[in-house]
Amino acid sequence: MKKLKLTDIAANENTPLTELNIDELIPLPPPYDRAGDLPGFRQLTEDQRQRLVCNLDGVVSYAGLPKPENEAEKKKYIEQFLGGLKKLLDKENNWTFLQPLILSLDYCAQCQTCNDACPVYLASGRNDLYRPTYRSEIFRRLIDKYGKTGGKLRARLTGKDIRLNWATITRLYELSYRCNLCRRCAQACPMGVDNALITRELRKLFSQELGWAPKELHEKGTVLQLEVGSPTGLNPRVAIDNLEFLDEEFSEATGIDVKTVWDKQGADVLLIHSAGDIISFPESPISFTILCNAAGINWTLSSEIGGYDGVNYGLFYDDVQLARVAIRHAEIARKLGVKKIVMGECGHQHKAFITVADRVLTGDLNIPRESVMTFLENLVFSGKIEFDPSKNDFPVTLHDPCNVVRNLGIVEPQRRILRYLCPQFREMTPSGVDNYCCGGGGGLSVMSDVNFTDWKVNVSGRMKFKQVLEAFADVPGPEVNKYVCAPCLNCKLQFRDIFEHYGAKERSGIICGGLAELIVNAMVDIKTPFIKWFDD
Amino acid sequence: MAQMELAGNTYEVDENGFMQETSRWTEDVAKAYAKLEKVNELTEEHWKALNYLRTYYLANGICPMIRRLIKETGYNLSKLYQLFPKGPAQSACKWAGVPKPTGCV
Amino acid sequence: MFWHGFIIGSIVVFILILAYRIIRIASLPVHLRWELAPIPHERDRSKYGGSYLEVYEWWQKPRKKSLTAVIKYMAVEILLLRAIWKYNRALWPLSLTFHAGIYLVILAILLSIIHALVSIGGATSELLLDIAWIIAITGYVLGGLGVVGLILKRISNEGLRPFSSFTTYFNLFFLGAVFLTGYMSWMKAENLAADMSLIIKQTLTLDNAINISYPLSLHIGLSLVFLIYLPMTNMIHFIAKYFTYHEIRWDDEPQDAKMTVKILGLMKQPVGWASSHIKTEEKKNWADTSSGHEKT
Ligand code: SF4
Ligand code: SF4
Repeated sequence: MKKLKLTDIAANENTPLTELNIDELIPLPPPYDRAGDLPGFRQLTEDQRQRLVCNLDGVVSYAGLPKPENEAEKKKYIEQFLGGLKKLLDKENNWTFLQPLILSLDYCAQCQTCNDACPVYLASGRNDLYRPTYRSEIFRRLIDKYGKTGGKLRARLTGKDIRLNWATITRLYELSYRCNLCRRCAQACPMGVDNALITRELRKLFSQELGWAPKELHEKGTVLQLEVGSPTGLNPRVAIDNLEFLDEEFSEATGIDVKTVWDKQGADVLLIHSAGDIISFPESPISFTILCNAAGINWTLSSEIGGYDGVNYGLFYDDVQLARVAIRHAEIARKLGVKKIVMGECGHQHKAFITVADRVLTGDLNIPRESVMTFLENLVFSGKIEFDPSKNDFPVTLHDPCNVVRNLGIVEPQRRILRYLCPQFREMTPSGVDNYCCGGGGGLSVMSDVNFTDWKVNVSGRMKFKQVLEAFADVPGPEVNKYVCAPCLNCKLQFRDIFEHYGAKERSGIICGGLAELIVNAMVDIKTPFIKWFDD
Repeated sequence: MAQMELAGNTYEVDENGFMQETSRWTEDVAKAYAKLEKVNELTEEHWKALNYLRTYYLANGICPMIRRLIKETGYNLSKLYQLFPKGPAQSACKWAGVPKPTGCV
Repeated sequence: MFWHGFIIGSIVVFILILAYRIIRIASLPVHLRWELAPIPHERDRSKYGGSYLEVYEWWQKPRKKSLTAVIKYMAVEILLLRAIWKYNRALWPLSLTFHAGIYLVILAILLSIIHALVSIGGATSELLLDIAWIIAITGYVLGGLGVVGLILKRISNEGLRPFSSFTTYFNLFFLGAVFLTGYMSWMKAENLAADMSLIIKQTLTLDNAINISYPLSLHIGLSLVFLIYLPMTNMIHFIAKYFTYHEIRWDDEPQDAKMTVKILGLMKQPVGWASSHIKTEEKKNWADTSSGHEKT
């Protein structure tokens, strides 16, 4: 593996800085240890190399990046970048994160303690490009040089000069999407410096000033959510229609009356799922319908635009979009007059809505917001539903969504449920607030442009896949059905991609699902198994 | 924007080969996509699924849930994978000329 | 009078610059919440990193915060470098040696000051001076070893080298020179702490008899220049750390009335970002640009 210098970022704008080689990544346990047996890395076609900006690591996460014809056009973008860089340092344009940003920029001691905390860096076989400090330090030096008085001279004198050119800005853009924003590095930093935050600020600069953002997060993400109702494209009518269909299906399958509640004025609880769950993991919203009804909760879903999709991709890349989506959600709850809003099984929704946006929602918009974990814990232990834990007698392990666990400190409620309802529950190592990200964090799980999925399943998801396999090391074979409980839609999607890539269901009998499904599966009233490993 | 030649015409596609101009789709396009994935013959069963996908998309602006597709066609998931090698989302949607599903799906 | 002016002047400049930088950080606007587990003030839950959000309908329940746990956590972090111990064991011995050197030298100076104050009142304490003297020399030796070790480590380690700049080495050399001249002065002096204490006393009483001979003069001169230089660098991370920990990682305060006022003020500021999804004909403020997306 080639050693990288910080100044390499500005060199040879059309050549990737590093080549990814599966043999150099950390090895996986058998039967996934032979690279030759696995589908490899999708390389770009010659045509794509011509058309797209591909100068980082042979992976492209956003085909929409412009490819300027001439120097003047490049210069225009560089000027925009500089404009954005200055706005990041200004109290009006970036009051939202100015203090954390400045502290993280100014007080790094360059001890590199954070590096080994990073799952991406570790999984890559310690590729310099993926050190949490590589992108941060380059960005820091650019800010010192261009954002502070006397910066250019100081940069020259201290040997910290990084050239700002087309190569630098495009590589920084792409590199800002090689991080899960999981903040494991921030936890390890003795100074309290937060490389995830720096990465996010970099993404903000590109999105808020240049309009560069992954199309899945912006154009088909927050923009679509505010317009149509959901990044999936699901509009209110189809959302209701889909759940009516599912209510019917599951009433038939379970033998109990499944009826989802919509737009009930004055309900106690407004539950906001992720619309992706309705489409891709319908057992999840249906489980909530079953559980809430069985426990006699006065609850409702909302069919207003945005009200049935709790995702807030703004958390990943753009403060303005973050605020817009959060305020939209709060307005819907205010109109319904609910007592509280309960997050669905979605990690970034938790973080965006419960804490980050807490300082955007003023007055009567600041309606109490609760995690699904405490909501479900209360429901399970309320005594209103009868359970038979022996129905869950298969190996179960728990994935800790970073945004729920490391970021919000919600660790135990979900574990108390699993210890009660899953006799074969086992922890991964490490777990809880020390967990590894699934590899889909920071918005990556919904990004799939060009060959980005290959990077997610091979690099960012690698530590997690290894951990899952190790958690089931006592029952490795496909004859034992195993369940990874991932109470977060983004994590589930990432697991789905990983498991599909490696054939984990066929080769190891592993599937992934949420927490509510396990609870429903243990209900005495549910006669046929609710969780299925094979379709009928 | 990427271009792709299918059945003698050039179409705008995304980087994963999904058509961007749904209205220009023809049955020949579907056949051409299928050939690329080594399915040389589109049967009644294929068409049943493809037509349903397309009609649903045009009416609702989104691909149907897999469960709906299963119910509507009567094929289970393994059968769908037999018909469409990379599955309903990666193959069937593509052959039906609708954009790639995005956003947490 | 040169030494009086130099010593007192340096200390005043140090305090002024430091205060300026602290005020600069403290006066930055309220930021959005960005806490990170584990948070030690969570009395019952910090052991595993839990927070009050684990409580059903947490907004109805009283919060239990523990200040002692926070102090204990910070003490271990500052004195024993917990994070480096936990996440970077290979660096820990060196970093601890280095920091212990600094802490001990500071402690020796404090003891010398105490002795100077006592001696203004007419008393002296051989014991106090001996203790200060031993602490000082231990500090110089450990600090010096730490500096050498860190420089060698930075040069030899492939992970550290690319991130070590001229400034990094300059700072280390500077501190190394302070330790080295301290060591040289110790070699020369009978009891370094006694000399120091005397100088402090003479400074405090503006006694004109002050007379500092080489190499102690060099040591004190370097130390004072370092003192002025320090707050201009990122070596004041001991201050920044207060903010990164208390004001960011551990700031889990829900919005209260006082904060609402601040936030409403901030939301009135104009938004100047240029992307097409933000930019409008007439500049909007944060409040307007982020609401009004209600569709029915
Ligand atoms: S971010 Fe923190 S851990 Fe990483 S190099 Fe900087 S000071 Fe060290
Ligand atoms: S946030 Fe996570 S993925 Fe990103 S650099 Fe830090 S540890 Fe690595």
